[in-house]
Amino acid sequence: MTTTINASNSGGGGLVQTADASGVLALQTAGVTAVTISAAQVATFAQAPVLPAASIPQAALAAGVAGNGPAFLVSGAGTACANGVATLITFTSETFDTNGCYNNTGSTVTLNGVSAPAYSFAPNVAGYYEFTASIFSDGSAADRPSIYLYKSGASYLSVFAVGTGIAGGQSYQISGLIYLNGSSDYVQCYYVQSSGGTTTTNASLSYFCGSMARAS
Amino acid sequence: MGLFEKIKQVYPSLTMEDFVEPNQTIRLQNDSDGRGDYIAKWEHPTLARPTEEQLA
Repeated sequence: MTTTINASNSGGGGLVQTADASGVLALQTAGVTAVTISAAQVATFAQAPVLPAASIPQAALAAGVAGNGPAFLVSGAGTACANGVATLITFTSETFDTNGCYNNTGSTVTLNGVSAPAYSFAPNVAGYYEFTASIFSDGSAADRPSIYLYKSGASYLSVFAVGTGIAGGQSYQISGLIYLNGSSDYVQCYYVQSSGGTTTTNASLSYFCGSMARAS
Repeated sequence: MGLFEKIKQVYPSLTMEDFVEPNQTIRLQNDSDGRGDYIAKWEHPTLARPTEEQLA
C-alpha cells in the first residue's frame, strides 16, 4: 500500500491524494508513479533524473569515485624511423580502448562522430587528458632522440635527450596533460632520432596510453 | 639516401642541431601514411628551403 499524490489529467484533472498507513509515498503524474519514497526515506525514481548541467560539485561525489571518460592503451608494430625524421609511431594493437576513441589503422576514420587520423586518439568528450608514451628504439645508439605528442597535427609537447643512447636500444618516455575539445582535436605520438641511419621502434616494448583526467 | 642526407648534401653547413630540439629550425616528418618523408617546418634564419629539384 502507498500514499499517493497524483497530478491527475483525467476528468477535470487536479491534485488527487490517497492515504494509508504504510509510510510509503508515491508521487505521480497522470496517474503514473514518478518517485516512490519508502518509509525509510529511500527515494526510487521511475526514470533517470535530469539535473541541470554542472550541478553536481566534486565534493558531492562519493570517495573513490572515478570518472568514466575515455581511456586507452596501445602498443604494436615497430616503426622504422629514418635519421632525423620525426615519424608517426604506428601503434596498432589495443590493450584497451574504453570508448572506441583510438584509431589503430593507417587511414583516417570517423570514431563517435570525430574524424580520427591514422594512429590517433580522438575523444568525443571534451576535457583534460593525461598521456604517456614510451618508445624503445632498437638497434644502433640513437643520438638526441625526441618524442613528440602532436595535438591536431602540430607538436604540442616534446622531450629530448642530449647525448647518445645505449647501443642495442633504450627506452624514452614523455607524459603530459593536453586539453582536447571532444569534437575535432586528436593526439598522435612521433619519434625522431639521429643515429645516422634508420632505427626501428620495438613493437612490444613501446606503448602509448591516455585517459581523461578532468572534464572541461 | 634519406631526406636528411639529401638536405645535408645541398647545405653541408647544416648540423644536427638544426634538426633537433631544443634549437630546431628544420623539422622533417613522416606521417606513416605511405607518402614518405617531407619537410614539415623550415625556419632556418639564413638558408632557403631547398627545392624539389635540389632534393631529387
